[in-house]
Amino acid sequence: MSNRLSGIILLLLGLLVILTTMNISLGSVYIPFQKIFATLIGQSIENEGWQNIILQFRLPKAITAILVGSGLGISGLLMQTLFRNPLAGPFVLGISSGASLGVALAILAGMTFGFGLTQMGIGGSWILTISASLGAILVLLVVVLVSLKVQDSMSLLIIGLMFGSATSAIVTVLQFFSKAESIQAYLVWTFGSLGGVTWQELQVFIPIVLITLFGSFLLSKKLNALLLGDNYARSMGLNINNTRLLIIIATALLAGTITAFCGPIAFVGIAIPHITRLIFNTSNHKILFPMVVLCGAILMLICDIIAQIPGREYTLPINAVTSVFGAPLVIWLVVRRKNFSKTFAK
Amino acid sequence: MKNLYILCSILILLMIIGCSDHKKVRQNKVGEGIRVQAPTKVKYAKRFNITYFDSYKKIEVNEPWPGSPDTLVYIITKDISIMDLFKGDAKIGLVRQPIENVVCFSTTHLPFLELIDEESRLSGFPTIDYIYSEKIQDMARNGKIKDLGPSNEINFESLLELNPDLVFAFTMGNELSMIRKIELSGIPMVLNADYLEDHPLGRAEWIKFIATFFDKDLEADSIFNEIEKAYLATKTAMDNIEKRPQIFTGVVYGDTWFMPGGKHYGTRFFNDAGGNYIWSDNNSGNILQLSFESVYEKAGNADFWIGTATYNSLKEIEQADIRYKDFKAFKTGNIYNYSARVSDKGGNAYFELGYARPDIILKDLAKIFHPDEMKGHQFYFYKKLY
Repeated sequence: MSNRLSGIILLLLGLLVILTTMNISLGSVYIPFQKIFATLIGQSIENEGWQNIILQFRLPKAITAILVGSGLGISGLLMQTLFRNPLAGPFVLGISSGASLGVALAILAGMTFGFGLTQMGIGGSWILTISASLGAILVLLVVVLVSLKVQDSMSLLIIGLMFGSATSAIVTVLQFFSKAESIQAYLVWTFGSLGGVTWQELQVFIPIVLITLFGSFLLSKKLNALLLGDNYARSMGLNINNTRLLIIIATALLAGTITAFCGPIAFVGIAIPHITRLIFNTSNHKILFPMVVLCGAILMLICDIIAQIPGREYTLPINAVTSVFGAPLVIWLVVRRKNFSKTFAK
Repeated sequence: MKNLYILCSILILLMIIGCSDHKKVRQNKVGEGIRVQAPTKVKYAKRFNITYFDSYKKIEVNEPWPGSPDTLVYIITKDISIMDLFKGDAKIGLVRQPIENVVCFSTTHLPFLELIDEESRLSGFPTIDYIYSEKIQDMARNGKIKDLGPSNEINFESLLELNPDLVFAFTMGNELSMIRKIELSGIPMVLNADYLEDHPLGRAEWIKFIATFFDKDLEADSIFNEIEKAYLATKTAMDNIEKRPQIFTGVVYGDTWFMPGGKHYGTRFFNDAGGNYIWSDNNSGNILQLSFESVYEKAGNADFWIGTATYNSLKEIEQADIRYKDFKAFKTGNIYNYSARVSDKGGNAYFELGYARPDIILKDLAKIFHPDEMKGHQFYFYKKLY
């Protein structure tokens, strides 16, 4: 590892620590930094409200931001490598479309036809999480079945796109027959949300994301081979179908879980792998992998800080921030590095 | 030379005819009918105004949807010759009386019809399932009301087939194409802007708007006066109470807590009912989009949580987000929702009758905040959550 590389890594690690602290320190409510520090190291402070804000609101939100950024970054990287297509992202397989359909059925159809999951004794935010997961799993199953049939990754890409169109058409029909309030509830879900994840939900969220991240890291070598083309990979003794299946499952678990808990978070999944490639100027997954995790976490923390509009009572939807601030960043990096295509697959 | 004289004379003659013709049209536009004494006066509503003439009535609706620069003008008359007079002006909507057959687009219009005993005129409604009123549901069951499909996309052919004498419509400004389509079809339509009034009595006063089409101005006036009297009586009684509990409302959707601003319609209810709404100082008449933590900071110790959207039990609230449990109002069980009367299919009386009867909403709220003062009143729209 060159000195320059370790320098950048140290810088990013430092940035991650600083941004996590900033993310927890800044918010609508002003809390002095000493109080935040005291709370974080486990001391109790006299203002119980502040303590609750830090421990129940800001800490889980910061953890969620880190997991979402890393998870979506990695699933984006996996998809871009699998399809050898820089436009691919975590949702090309139709996973977010499946999740959206699940949520739309729960919110829109549930309210319209009166068979909401509430009647089944599943309450509140879990309704959305469970319906999004079911939708994502359903799409995943079909994609896996298809991937076993077709030999060619491009066919998968097209099938994923078709899934997206079909599900969004069904969602449109559901919206058409729904009350304004349910449509609004659905739209709010599509804006994405990091703050809705509580400790209760993190107990499920953290292990799934961490285990999948670790599992997909083990695929790095195979991913490097895939980048050079299916035939080359095969000649290196790689079982393409097997690898493809593992990549699909890992992506679906990451993107599906994140969408289930936070809604369809736009843009970061496509942008983070590119940003990382441009910074490190490499397509070696052994380096890219940990760095995408790092960059994803950093970018998401920044987006969340902006969305909070520190010091104001108001908030912005996280999706607005990720796209509005993320797109110019990628454009700037691409323009600055004129040899962008070389960073993708050397 | 002679020819020139003739030409000049013709020209002058034409100019005179042209002028007088022009004058006539202009006079008509101003409304040359003889103005008569108004049987009612609009006191609270800011969005509509009725002027009475001997053979017709002129209604103006200001800012019919949020941000609209227009003032809509409607002429109501029994006299076909009056209609001919105004026919040329595309900006004036003409409504011919009597109105036997009416279509409403909003549930908020229905209680007004019922209060003035004209609900039997209702012949069509978009998505009848959303109606709470049992009387109107009965009519629908007997096939007297046609379902016109989802309200955001009315089944246009069914509407044409009904051929109503009048459509009471409303628009938020985002589905104007449908409104234009109905206009072009020639079916008389008026836009209600009741939902844009910022005073509860202003919304209730739209009974006068609906009633004037049925010539029930006087009835509407006396009904409204009763509602106003009842509202003000409760308000006056509550104004004298020193101890005002702190109030907040709404729930989190995504990352955003939707909270009415200080000048919002709902805010006045809380303060008139003897409460102290925490965001009263805010200057916005819209819904504020707040972060969860800022609401927690300000309202964590508030006494009452009024209005919890779709949550109807403490368990549902807790399951939606465990952090709601940290609110004092949750711990003390002082949470109320406007869901005491909801039909099986989801029609909610609060969103229907509530507009017309702010006096009852105010009494409900006053009973929540100051139960000792309102012992005689039974909850109507609100219920306590358990």
